[in-house]
Amino acid sequence: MFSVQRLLGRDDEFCALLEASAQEAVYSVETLKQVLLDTSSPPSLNRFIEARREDKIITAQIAELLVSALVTSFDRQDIETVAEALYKVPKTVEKFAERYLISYHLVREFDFTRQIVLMEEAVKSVLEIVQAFRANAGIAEIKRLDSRIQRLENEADDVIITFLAKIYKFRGRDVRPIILKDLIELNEKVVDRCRDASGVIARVVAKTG
Amino acid sequence: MFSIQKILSKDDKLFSLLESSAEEANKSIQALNRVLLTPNQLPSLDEFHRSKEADKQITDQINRAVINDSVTDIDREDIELLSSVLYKIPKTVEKIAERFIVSSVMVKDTNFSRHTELLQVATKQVVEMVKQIRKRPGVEQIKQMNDVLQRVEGEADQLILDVLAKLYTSNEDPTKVLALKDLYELLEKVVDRCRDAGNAVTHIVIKHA
Repeated sequence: MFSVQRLLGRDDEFCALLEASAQEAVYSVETLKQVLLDTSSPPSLNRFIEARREDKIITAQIAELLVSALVTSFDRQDIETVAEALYKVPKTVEKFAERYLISYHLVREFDFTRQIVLMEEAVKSVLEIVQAFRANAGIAEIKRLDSRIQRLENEADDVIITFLAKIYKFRGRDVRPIILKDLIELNEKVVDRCRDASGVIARVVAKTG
Repeated sequence: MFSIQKILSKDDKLFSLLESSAEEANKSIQALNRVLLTPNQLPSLDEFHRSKEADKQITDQINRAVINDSVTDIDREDIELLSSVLYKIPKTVEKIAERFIVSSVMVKDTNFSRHTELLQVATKQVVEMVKQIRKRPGVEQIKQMNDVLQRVEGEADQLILDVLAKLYTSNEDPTKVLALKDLYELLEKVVDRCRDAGNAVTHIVIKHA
């Protein structure tokens, strides 16, 4: 039987899963922060793999719900795009950790603070926008939160260029510029995925009023 | 009041916005070509930044127009895809300019003339194709225009292979190799975005033939 309550219930199930996925993204960046701050021992990948697996399960649940839900007030494609972008956050963070692990002895003295701060702000902002979306916070609030993530994405672009200016000063047969460039590009990707998820949410809210 | 004039004027507004976006992309390419052809004059980023920001505003206006007041028979997704691809052109161009500046000491002697030729042809073709949308051209006509972009994209693919082959055997500092590879890949990306824009226009025209 079709009812408004049922429709709203289904919408909330989607939102709850998206929120759980955003929480996993926050958790994975927090883990990375701890790893980068503690340079005394090589990082373990277990916690990253765990976060990514958790998020994969949530993304699969969203996909299942999309198949079984006959009616939702959002476009299926939009939900899929947000879920996919959110899943890519812990996935990219895990990739960063893997590469950091294999090059740890070469890059551990490099300061990633600005990248970490940006990633942290981006995942927290994306969690906030998902929560605001779930709470029907309204178009003005969603726009405000989305603008914040867009700003962070612009800042991430600036950070990467400052970082490149630094590593382009390396001379001679030094492999570190290649590793570092790889790592900072992965950091930037995390912020980009947050921007993608937020952009879709802002569009959904603009569409549905 | 609902009237045919109203519909036509809204369509006209949307087409004009798409054309402005293509023009901004073209403007940013002209600026980039000047930089690449006169590498000894260190460029200012202002012009690139202005172009990107102007295009961003146009893209926002397009997104608002398709949600709020568009009555065009062209699918919203198709317009959004085209405007998003067009915006990526000045965005990538700004990135190239930034990276050129931070690596100029190493890369200023590189010959980018083949890249600038391809970029010139590609962006002009994009502007022409976007202008065609409002005229509702025939499928054959738009396909012929798109063929030019496909050819340019093929040439850009070949070009990156040529320049990378040269670079890999050059015995240059790894940092210089890294910086140049980065620039070459971004330059190729701009041509790819032009190809994507051409495909998006062709898709729209075929759908409404």
